[in-house]
Amino acid sequence: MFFAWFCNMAMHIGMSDLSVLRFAKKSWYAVASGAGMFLGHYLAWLAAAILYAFQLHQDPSNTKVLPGPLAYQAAGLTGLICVIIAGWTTANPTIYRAGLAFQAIVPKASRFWITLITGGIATVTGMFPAITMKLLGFVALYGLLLMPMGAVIFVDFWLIRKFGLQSSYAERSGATFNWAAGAAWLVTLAVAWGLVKYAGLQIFFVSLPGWFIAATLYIGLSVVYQKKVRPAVAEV
Amino acid sequence: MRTILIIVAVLSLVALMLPSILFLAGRMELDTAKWIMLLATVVWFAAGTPWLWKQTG
Repeated sequence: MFFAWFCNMAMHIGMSDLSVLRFAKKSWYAVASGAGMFLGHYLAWLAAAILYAFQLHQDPSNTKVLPGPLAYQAAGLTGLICVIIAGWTTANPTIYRAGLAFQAIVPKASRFWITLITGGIATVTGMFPAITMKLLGFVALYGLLLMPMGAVIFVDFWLIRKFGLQSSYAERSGATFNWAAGAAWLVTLAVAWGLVKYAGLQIFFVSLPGWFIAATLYIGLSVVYQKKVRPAVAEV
Repeated sequence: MRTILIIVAVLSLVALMLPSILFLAGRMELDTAKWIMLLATVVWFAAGTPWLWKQTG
């Protein structure tokens, strides 16, 4: 139940949601993200468990976990519509984020076309079960990849001034790369990889200790980094 | 008009949930439940969309 907070980690813990929440007119709009993250995922698990139990009740030999057939045999076309709409609404902000990311690489490209092409590629990819059936593991992996950066963003925005340090330090000092953030990210990933590989911890659970490791590292490394790199502009 | 849309939309949500509860209680066949849920889904989108749609920009 607690780890429902870590579902779709790339979006929430990894702060990808900020790409959409930048349009929020009030800070409490983020509650929508929190509700989707915890309540939504928690209920989704319950619903998935009930659907799976029903499938086993109908045919004990059918142990496949396929969202479409699971929903269809329990709720008919309504179930299929739910799966399609759930996939569509989840994919919308993600395609938008992917469009923004590609546009960051090619700044002169039209966001409209780049988002459309990204969505097209994702749709074609989604037609191949060999890829989509590995989504769960992939989602866990890219959630893990983004988690340390989410911790860095959180600490940089909310906590770092309390330690006598400055936030957005790369921007203030005119540096193109914040080594404290970069090192916190890489070291956390290495530790997380070690925990999964050698300590037998599941990839879904490694992000909880990982978040605190990244946050602590970022603060510790910032103490050193901010002493060495002097600001190019005066503090605002 | 808006009041009618709200009433129809809320009733469609009730009609969407009720068949599954009746099926669980053994009071309804699965096929009947599926058809009622499909009908309720269509009604929800027909009534709920104009109710909740908000023109922006």
